[in-house]
Amino acid sequence: MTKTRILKADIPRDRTRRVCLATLGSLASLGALAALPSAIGATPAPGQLEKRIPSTGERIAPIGMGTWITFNVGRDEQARQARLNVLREFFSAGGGMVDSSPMYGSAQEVMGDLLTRLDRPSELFSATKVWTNSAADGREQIEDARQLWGIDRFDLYQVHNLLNWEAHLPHLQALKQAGQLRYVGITTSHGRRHEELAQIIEQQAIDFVQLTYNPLDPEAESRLLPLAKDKGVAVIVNRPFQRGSLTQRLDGKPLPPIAAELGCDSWAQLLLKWVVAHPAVTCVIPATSQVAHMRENMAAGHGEMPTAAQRELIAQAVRGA
Amino acid sequence: MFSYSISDFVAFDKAVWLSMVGQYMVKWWWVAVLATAALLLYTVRWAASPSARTPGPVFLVLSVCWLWVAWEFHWHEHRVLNWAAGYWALAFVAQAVLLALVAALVRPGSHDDNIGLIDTVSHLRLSSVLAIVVGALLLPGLLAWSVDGAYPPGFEWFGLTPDATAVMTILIVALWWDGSVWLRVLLSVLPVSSLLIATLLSTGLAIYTTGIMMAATGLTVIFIARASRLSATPRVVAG
Repeated sequence: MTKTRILKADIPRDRTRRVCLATLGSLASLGALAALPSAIGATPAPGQLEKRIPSTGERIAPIGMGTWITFNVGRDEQARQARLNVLREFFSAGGGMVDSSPMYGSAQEVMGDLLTRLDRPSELFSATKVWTNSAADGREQIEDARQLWGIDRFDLYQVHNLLNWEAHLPHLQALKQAGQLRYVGITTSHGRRHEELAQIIEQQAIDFVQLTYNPLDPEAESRLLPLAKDKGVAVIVNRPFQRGSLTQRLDGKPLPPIAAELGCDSWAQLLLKWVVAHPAVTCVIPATSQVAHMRENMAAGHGEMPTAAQRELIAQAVRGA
Repeated sequence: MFSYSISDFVAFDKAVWLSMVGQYMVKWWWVAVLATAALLLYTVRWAASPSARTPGPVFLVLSVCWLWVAWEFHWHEHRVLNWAAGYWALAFVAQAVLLALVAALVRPGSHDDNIGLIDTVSHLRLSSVLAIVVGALLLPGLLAWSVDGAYPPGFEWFGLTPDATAVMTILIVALWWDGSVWLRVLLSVLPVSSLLIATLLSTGLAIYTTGIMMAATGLTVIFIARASRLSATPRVVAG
């Protein structure tokens, strides 16, 4: 895989910048953007893997963060302070995408509170989901999410777990047309409904797809990842650690020799590099409630990335451990 | 590939749950004191005095507790962490209504084919009944401390938290031998279901108190049932 220098994501916030970005995205598709490393005002993060959103060419940091469980802390102020430190570390290490859902209890409200405490970092790439069977409730959820996060326009809105996507996708696409959100996506996890997801990628105008992908759950690479790449759909990977069970299983096991070659100090970094090095993957969103783990995760977006052959070695090491 | 586990259905972690319970208990500790005092008072009266054989006041206390847990615990606290807590609150309201109806409508001796609590007490003795009730009050905290490493005020308690309230309700209903079988089963469906679901979910959080409480409750119900059969035998012979 080609080693590339990556730039810290910088997300345009107003219409003018969005138009500029779209223009630059077109240029990128012509291979011209490589010559304009800071053309959209991004601050370079030396050594960070470069990923771009296929539909626009916008740069995005390869390591994002999920909020399932970890940011659902309710009214516990001590826990909020701990998550604030995690979020601060995320942005200071060049992170951008934060993904949540109305399914995650208080996570959206907590995120809104913490973003306010951090003075609304400009690096934020806000991603959430609509999660209901009812189209009317979906509209209400979208409005609620704006209030909870404290933002007017989400960067990415996704249909959670394909739930009534037939009703929600057209609405999200209309919101995108109206400039009320920037990208539209759809999600699944745990390997559910991949056949239907493939049809949606083929037939619907979506910018992002989110799915589960890790060395123990590699099903997506047989069809969904090549299809997304072919259709120009960005891929967000959830559950890179199988919700912690994978890293727990590998805990204490010696790292394979390939880890040193890639500058990885931990299994977590190796797993994340394995995921983001896939050419179709745009961003991976591990979740953590600990600053040390966030630092470790973010380091995986830097340095040398595994080639296809090295990825196979990593997968074998993980499965054999 | 499907890779679900129980933990995938729980949207928060153990520390957050214990912290929420702890803050809630600190806020409403006096409700626990009132509920416990009322329960002990009416249970002793019910068990000890033939003139107070109606379980109405005890069930009324239980009803108020289920309503409290529905509103203050599930709706106001638990729902912040878990969207499904709203449905749980509805179920608890339904149980509160059932208990209130029983408290209002059931009269002592209305089911002659069953024996009453006094008959049970003749074998269990009042001290045994009290031991069961006090045990149900203390067990959740003791288990939380010894098994799950929780510290006060993170202990669950009857009248304030769902599992402890469900355990007490199951035991009180089991002690109510004056009631018809179908009514006792009806009153036990939601508490048992609540405990079953809570056991599954808390196991996903690596919290084992609920499961052990449920097992202990089941064993106690079997003990009460056996004692009541012993109590019933002389009546059948005498009849």
